[in-house]
Amino acid sequence: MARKLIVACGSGVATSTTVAEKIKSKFDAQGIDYPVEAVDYKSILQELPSASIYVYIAKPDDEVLQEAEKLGVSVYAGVPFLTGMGVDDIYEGIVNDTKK
Amino acid sequence: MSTQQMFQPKLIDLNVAVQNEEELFELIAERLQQAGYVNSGYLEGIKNREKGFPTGLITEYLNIALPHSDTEYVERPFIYVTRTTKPIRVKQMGDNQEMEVRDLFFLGIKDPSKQVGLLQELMVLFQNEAFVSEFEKTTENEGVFNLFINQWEEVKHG
Repeated sequence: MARKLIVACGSGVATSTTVAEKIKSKFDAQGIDYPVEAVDYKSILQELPSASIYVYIAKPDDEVLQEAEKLGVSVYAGVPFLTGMGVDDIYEGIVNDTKK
Repeated sequence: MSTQQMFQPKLIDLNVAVQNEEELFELIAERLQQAGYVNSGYLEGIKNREKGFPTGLITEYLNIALPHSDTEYVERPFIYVTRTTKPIRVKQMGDNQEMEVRDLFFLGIKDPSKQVGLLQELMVLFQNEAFVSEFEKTTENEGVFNLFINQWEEVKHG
């Protein structure tokens, strides 16, 4: 089973890297050892098979969501990591997924 | 280049009279190109980018948007701060829902590994209620410049 958290935005640079860093530092603070990577949304279908958790910044289209479900990849909204709003619930879900 | 160096008083305009996002993009793209910060592909780059991957954010205290293009259109890193005279419609990052915004920050990211701190630092500021209320009250370009610089000095020196 794949074991990696990916964060995808429109270019795989600014926003996804920011959110990935934020998640990484939260993991580090709690001693959670889990790979985190920022990726380009345009290559999301190639990235999903090697992922277990998908945090989206760019809105995923239906095909991507179906593929994630088929592969058993958990999907979370990433924007709360930028705005701070509702981030605790999402982060808790992610942490639970890292323990699977 | 540090975030502070990207901030410049001449790259702040708090009285932008435009009707919509497209007019704003055209205006700012022209200014940025004339000042040598972006190349001729920037306007199309930012329009296409925003269409596919919008950047509006509803934060706790303020609606903002962070339009940015792919790095190939940026000649020199920058941040351009704009406030429109009336709200314009943009779409939200993450779910593409419509929202209204007056405060837009154009991020000129040339080298993501060097400028990725910028977005992080901005988001920290916009979760700070005291900062946001001060920012909203400030109507002079120079005032906003000083506000950001002072804030970062405080962060740096604890």
